[in-house]
Amino acid sequence: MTFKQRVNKRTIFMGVFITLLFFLLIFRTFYIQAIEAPNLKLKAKNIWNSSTILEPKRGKILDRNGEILAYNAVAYTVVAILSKDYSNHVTDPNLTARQLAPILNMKENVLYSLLTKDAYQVEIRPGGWKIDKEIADKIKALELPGILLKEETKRYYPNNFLASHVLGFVNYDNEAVMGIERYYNQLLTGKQGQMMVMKDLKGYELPDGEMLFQPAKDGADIILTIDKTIQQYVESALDKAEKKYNPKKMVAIVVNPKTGEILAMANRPNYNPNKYWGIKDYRNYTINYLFEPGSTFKIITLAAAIEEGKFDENATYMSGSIKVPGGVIRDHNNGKGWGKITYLEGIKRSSNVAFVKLGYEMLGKEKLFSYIDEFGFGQPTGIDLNGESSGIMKDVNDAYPLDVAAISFGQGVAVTPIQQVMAVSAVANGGYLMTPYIVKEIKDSQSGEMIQKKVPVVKKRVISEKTAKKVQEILEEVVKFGQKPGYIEGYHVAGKTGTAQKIGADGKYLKNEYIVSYIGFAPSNDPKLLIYVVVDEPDLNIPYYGSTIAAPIFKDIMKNSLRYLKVPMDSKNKVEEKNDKTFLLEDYIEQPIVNSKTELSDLGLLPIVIGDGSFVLEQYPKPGSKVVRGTRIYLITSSKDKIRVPDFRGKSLREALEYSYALDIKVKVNGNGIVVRQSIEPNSIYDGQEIELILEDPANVLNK
Amino acid sequence: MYSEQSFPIYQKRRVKRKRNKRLVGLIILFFLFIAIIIYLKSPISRIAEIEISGIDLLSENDIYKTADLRIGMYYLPIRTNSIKRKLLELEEVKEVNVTKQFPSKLVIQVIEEQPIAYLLNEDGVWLPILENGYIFNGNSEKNFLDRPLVTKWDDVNKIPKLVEELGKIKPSILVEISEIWQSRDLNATFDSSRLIIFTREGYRVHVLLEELGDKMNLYPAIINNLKTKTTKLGDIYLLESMRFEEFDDDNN
Repeated sequence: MTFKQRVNKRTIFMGVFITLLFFLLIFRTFYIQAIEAPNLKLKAKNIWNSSTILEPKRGKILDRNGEILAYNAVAYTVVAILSKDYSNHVTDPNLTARQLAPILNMKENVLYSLLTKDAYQVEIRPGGWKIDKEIADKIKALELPGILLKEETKRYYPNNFLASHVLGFVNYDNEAVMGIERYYNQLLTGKQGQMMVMKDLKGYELPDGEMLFQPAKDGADIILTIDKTIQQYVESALDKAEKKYNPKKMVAIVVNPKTGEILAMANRPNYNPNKYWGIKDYRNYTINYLFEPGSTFKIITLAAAIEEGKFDENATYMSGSIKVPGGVIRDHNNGKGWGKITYLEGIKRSSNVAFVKLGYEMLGKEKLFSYIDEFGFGQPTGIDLNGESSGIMKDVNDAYPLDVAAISFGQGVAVTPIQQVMAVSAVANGGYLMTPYIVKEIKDSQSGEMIQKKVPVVKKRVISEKTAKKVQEILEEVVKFGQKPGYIEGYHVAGKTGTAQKIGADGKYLKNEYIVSYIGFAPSNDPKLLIYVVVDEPDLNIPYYGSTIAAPIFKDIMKNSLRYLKVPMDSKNKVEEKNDKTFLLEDYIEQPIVNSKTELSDLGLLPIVIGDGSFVLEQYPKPGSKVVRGTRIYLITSSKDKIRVPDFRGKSLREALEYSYALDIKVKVNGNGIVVRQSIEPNSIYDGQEIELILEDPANVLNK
Repeated sequence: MYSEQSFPIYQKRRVKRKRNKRLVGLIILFFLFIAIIIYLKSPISRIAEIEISGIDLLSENDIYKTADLRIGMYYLPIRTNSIKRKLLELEEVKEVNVTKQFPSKLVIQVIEEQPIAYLLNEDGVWLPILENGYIFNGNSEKNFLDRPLVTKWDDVNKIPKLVEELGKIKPSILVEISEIWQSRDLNATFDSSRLIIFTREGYRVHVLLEELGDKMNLYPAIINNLKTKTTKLGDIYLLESMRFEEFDDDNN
């Protein structure tokens, strides 16, 4: 090969090589510009746009008077930075663990192993998870290196145990677990918002760089039909009974029978939604506990018999026992009965035979079953809560005569407490079966606008006004009979006890295990409240009945609630003749305020609680003083230097002076009658000055 | 033979014994005397403690002064009956029980007359009116005012009658009374037996002093009856005729 040939060959080779390179370049350019372009553009956008999710605030849950039952507030989570790359990291895990352990209530070795993990950072759980501000402040004060507090929100239930099963709870992972929280989760949660801005390489926002701003929509506020005060009466009555009888379960419901609004609803065992991990049972028994109602169910049979014109109160029958195909039904006094008595007396004595006669013989299977169905048994009531049961009703075609006879006095059916409540409400309100509801209003939490307002819903009319009146009268007679349970001074009360034997796993009735209950309403000719109390298997060795256990709970709640609602008295039943003896006041100092309050009320005294502590620090009059029914007892629960000036206005002179003495406040009295003005504003901090009270004759002040 | 008798010896012995006895007696007497002197000179013979219980209105000083008592007075000459008599002269004292506890303690248990109402004097001080009609004039600031309050009272002679009538009222009704008053401002012709009672709830009750006890005992029944009819407050006249008038704009 000549020299020239060799050169030519090289040149061609180089040319081809460079041309190839060019092709490669062109192809790559094309690939980036045309094929990969959308992807790359998106990546770039992500760098210069920064987008933030805006979390909505969860709505509040309030009672019917606007008292807060659940709300969101700031909570802190303790975070420890462990990576040495970060300047502020945990330097001495040993010391840090020792200092944090007592504050967070965690074991030191657990903390130590957390703090020595091979991770960039750890959250100190469970002790340091969503802690309150007070504890967070304590940690801040320690100034530990590498320990940071992350701000979060947490659901608070300011009343702790109050209405816990109704409210449900939101756990620390922000999941609504049960109750209202779950049923209305979507409304309460609201909608997330988003914000997008343009930023430069270093992360600074560019001017006019806002691209998208979509504010978060906060969750709606839910206003319940629950009345916190009545709920409190219920809770304290159940607490008292729980202590006394230690039952398996307890249920209490208070409703307005005319509208179906639930005013209070409580379960035992209870739990504190702020510490939800202590919960024993997630079920809200008021709506899904199935049990044999026993005698309270007789109200339905009675109403049906009256409606059908089969009931003649003066007709007589032979009490004791009655034969039914398949067995014998006996009265509760071991089948002894009371001889030949009128139906009215039979009902007063809760004679099973009377109801078998009414339900099984006079009404007959079809009629009885159709009334039970009409009254809403066997189907859910439709209350706005999760997990309602429909109860168990025998199919009419499968029912044997003995079944029908048993059902007529409340055995052989399984009902839920709320079904029983709504059925008896129909008797109380003049014959209308209502749909119960627990949410009154839903409001936009930002604008206050009404989103939804619930109104009472009549499902159907089940009995006539006349029948309802008659049943009310008979139930009132039942209460008066022997002036036993449920009897409340000053009011006409209609009610019925129930005692049902429990059924064991083998389908037989258990000896000495009962479910006792009481259902009643007052004032009976214009009912404002209907209360149902169920106590499952009280722990007592003596024979017991609904009258001895459930009735006092009913009475306690009813009495307090009627007084609280200022329902005018409708009966003159001997208020003034009750014992009028003076007795010595006991010592309540250092006792829990709840107990003292109920004990005092039981004695007929009027406790007045001052301050917001949970124990009695001082009491006036002093222990050992002579007191009488109606004496006001002042219980001071917080220390006197924290006392604020009370609102004396509208109080009588004597009451004002009692307050000022109990609180150690100096007052000067000007005039007499009712306090109309005071020289220091109520609720301001008391600094030891003398407060001047100006009083006027009640005629100038009241009724205006 | 006579001289051989042992009589003189016997006599001699007897004298000796007599002398011994006398000596022992004297010595005992001497020590007793010393003991008495020591007792009288030592603080054991004097009152070291006076325990007084049951006083709310009176102070310990009042008791000391009235009964002439002081710590350090001789224990022996104290006569409990005379202390009792002196203390009973105090209007505030209803019953008293005095016991001496050897060697140096005196226990006085007082039962005071209880206040049945409180009277407001011109200086703005609340004076307890006791069950026996006596108006206690000492310092009673420390008392919880859990009795009806007499805000204006122009006819002091009628206080005993007031106490008597208040005593007839059932305790549970007494609790409901906020104020009782009679006043010349009430009407032109001052009738000192005409009283006005303000109850805690805000009713204005008109009643005659002579009938106060009997008529006020009807109060709960009247109120219960009223409440079934109206929630309004007003004047309750418990005079010759009993009636109720709601407060309105023109009756004052």
